[in-house]
Amino acid sequence: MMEDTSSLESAPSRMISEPSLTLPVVSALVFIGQIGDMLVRSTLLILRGKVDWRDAIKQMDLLGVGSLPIVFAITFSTGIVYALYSTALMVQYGAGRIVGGTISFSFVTELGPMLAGVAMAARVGSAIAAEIGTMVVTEQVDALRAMAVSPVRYLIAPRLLACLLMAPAIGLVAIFSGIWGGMIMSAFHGVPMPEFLDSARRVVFAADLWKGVFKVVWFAVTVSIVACQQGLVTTGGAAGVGKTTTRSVVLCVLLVFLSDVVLAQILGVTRRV
Amino acid sequence: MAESACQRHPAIQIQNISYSINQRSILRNVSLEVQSGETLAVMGMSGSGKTTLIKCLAGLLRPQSGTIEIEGANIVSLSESQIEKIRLKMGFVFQYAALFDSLTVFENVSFGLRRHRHLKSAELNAIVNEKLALVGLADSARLYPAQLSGGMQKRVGIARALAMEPSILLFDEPTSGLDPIIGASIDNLILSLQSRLGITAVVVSHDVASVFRIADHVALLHDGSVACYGTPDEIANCSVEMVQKFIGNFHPTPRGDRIPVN
Repeated sequence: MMEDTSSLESAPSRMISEPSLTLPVVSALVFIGQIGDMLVRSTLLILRGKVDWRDAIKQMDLLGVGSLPIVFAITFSTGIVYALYSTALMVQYGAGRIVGGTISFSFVTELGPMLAGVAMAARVGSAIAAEIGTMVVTEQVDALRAMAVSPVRYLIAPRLLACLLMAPAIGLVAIFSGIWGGMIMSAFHGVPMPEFLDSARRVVFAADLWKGVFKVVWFAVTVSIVACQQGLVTTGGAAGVGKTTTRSVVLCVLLVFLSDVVLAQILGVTRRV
Repeated sequence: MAESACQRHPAIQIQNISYSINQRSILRNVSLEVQSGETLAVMGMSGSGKTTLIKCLAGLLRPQSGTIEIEGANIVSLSESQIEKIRLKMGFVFQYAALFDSLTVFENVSFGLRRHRHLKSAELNAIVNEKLALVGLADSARLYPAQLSGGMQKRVGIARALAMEPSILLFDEPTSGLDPIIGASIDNLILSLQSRLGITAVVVSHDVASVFRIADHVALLHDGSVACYGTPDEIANCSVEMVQKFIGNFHPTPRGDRIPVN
């Protein structure tokens, strides 16, 4: 287990100075260890009710509510474009009756959660890493520790809690705005809205929706913890904060895609009766 | 409060600490002692290990060997949560203040109190206003750090460190980058804290004039080791060439003149 954030800060720089074939493996193990440690400690703090609610609510506003417009814009426009390409083709081949189901199922199970995950990786992953990274290089994190306030308790746990609580809302906005965009565009290509909705109701089950929302919660946890870890290992002033922010976004996007592959296998497809 | 000389015991005892990072040795077998109610100044050139030493004292960095006893507890062997209890007795003034830039001056000063003491709002306000008045910033409570000058930020940092009423204060370059008048006012503040509250202080600085004014003992770090240790008079008379080069023409302030100017 990680002893303190000073060890967290110095670990990567120590390894950079020791070129070796084992370096990537050691770096990966250190990264996994730090992520696991932070996740466990933050979760315990949340479960014991030791997170300041004012901090968590502030983060819910900054990270969650602030992400909703961009999530809406991304998924709504994707829904429009998806329908633009697919509806006309499906109608042409006589499959107009399943357009609503196809688009809705795609958004509920994959497109909605995935686009929400990428949007969170870009917005939340950069915001958290840049803020905490700046706090590290300006010694604000040291100041926290000097005042006997744990950075995990003050910085990480409220952000994790905020992302956890806001993830279902972000997921639902992503899914339904995508379907809405698809429904509007389909109406212009010969699939009336009632027919679209009827098809969607027949194809999409409630279990699919919960699985989609679960994916978004998973992505939110991944993004918040990885961004916090990246922020805390920042070194080297303004340039270091820039590098940290970029690395955080890249890692978050990568982990969202990789974990989506695993989650898709685990959650599977709800059995159609 | 300060104890009489015969009853004094070390508030801080550092024994043979060594710290290195990236295979570069920063501190080498440093041993120092600070008596309760005393001010120890640590001088040295840039890169001599001063800031690393003071961060080790606060438990922010962990030396690879040696012991650091704060009021009898060896913080090197303690876990982070155990060190947090020791840190409640200490205040740390950072070189660049390290104020929380998203919080106002009032919120910065009250930060530790809100998290460690269950005070009523009126009590909290009274303590914060008292500490801000002590550093001459009673009317700046609603400002954000970005709206303050460097000297004001440093004084807010001191008020924040004092808010928890620590028995030990650690100052990292308290007068660097400040004009002589503000620098002198911070020296006065440190002297007044020592005389009024009997606070034990460790001041890291390369400001020789300031150090000779406020310190009871001075340690000069060179290349990670203690090159010279003694009272300001002893340092002034030290025959080591490097020490003489470092202090130049400065001479210690006679003790009778070290009374803070109110």
